[in-house]
Amino acid sequence: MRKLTLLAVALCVCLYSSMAFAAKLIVVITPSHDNPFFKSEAVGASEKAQELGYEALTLVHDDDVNKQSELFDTAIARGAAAIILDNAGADATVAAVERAKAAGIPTFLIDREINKNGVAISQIVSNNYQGAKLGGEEFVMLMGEMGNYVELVGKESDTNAGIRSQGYHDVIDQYSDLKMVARQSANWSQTEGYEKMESIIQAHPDIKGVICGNDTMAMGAMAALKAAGKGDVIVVGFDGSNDVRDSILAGDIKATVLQPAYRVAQMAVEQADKYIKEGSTGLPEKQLMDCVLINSDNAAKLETFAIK
Amino acid sequence: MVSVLHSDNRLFFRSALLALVLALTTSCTIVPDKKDEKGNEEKLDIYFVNDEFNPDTYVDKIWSEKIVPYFDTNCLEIDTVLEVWKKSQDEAGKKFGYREKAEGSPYNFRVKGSGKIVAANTKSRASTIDVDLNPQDGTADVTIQIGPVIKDSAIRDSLEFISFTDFTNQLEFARLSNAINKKIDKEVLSGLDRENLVGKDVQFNGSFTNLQGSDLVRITPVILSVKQE
Repeated sequence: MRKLTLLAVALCVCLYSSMAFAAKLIVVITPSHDNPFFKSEAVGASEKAQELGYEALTLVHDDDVNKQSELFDTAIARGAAAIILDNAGADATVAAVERAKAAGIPTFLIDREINKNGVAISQIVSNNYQGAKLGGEEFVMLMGEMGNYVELVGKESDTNAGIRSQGYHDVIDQYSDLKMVARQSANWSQTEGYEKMESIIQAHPDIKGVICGNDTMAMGAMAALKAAGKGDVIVVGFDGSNDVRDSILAGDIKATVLQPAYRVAQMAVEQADKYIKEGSTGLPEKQLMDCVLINSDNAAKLETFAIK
Repeated sequence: MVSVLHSDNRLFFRSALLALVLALTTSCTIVPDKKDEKGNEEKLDIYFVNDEFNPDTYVDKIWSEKIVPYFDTNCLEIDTVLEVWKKSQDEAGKKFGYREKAEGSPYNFRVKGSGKIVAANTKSRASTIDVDLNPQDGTADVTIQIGPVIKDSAIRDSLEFISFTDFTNQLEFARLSNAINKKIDKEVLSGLDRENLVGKDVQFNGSFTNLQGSDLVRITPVILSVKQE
């Protein structure tokens, strides 16, 4: 009898501790870490989670909605306390976040938003419009308000691609001597940026500038331009990666716009922690973070998506 | 008898339809601006921009009903704000500013005041006037945007009844600010005698945003009255 009681107690303790263990897991899901921007998010979030006493599990969805859905199933099965997500599509992600919500797991979105409110607890996104206007104004200045230019747009499923393009054009289109000769999506990708730029150069050898929706596409475009002996073409990016910082310092890419990716990821975990403990973040769901222009004046101060 | 009535009805229906078609065609021709803009948007194909949300209609609805009355009753004397602002922008923000959330976005200041226009930059599409506030000392204290291009989103971000959470995405929220700025250009600024501003007395209310790394006080007006001699 005594043995049985002991066993029961041991079993309870075991169950309890495993439940407590599970309740302390924060799952961080982002696009592929090939882009340092997303790696910085994953590092920022998991470091903050560990600092606050959670176990952190970082996963990547590779911008594949089906894979993201499976990762949500994993998080739900493991009884995560919260999910930090940089999502794979503004419309397609709504269902996954709703499923987690139904399972009692709150989701905190970073970087990219979803087209539905009241499903996630927080949506912390860069003020892409404000940032794009900064980048657009710098681009206009660098171009001397005239000349032919190319725009490389991001991934269609991401509202950030739309909003940045909108911000660029709200500025650039006010200057009638700036003429856009090509506008293509390179899906945020460096390889695609290179390939698209290569073929654009063939069709339009007289390009003076290239404005890009993010830094990886800008890196690809710059490489293609240099390979074609057009290293003096003005290239502007968006994100504020160390790669582009180094390129600016080397005199290649001319400017980018810093998104505080690392800090945003940390904020999401802080808000998750507060929500887990108090049942509320005390903040509005949708939160905008201002961006900062980076050029040769301040590039040296940039390190891992933060100004030192 | 019945058939006569019937044909009368048909006649009436036809003329009503004709009138409707005429009305539609005429109304289309009066707003070429809007048509052009939409054409541009379609040509540009900005992802996620659709016609479900019409920011201009939304702003038309809230402009005189909510925005103007809100500024009538919720502006501080600009002297009060600038006194603290000149010492510390942070402190002024905490004391007098508004922002929807705690971190990562700038404070906005709703202010009112009066003074004399000492300079006008009307060459740029983003025109401004410099104002020497009362009591005047001969130097400019603030800049007021007079369009047609209005920079930043100071007015949208000063309205405590507007929340980003109420809008589907960043595009809608940005288009809202553009529509507010456009409305201001139309309602507040289009009637200005732009070539004869310097030396005139001016009274205003509006808002300015704490700009990154700058101490420029650049006000977007909700009311701007230039005194004509």
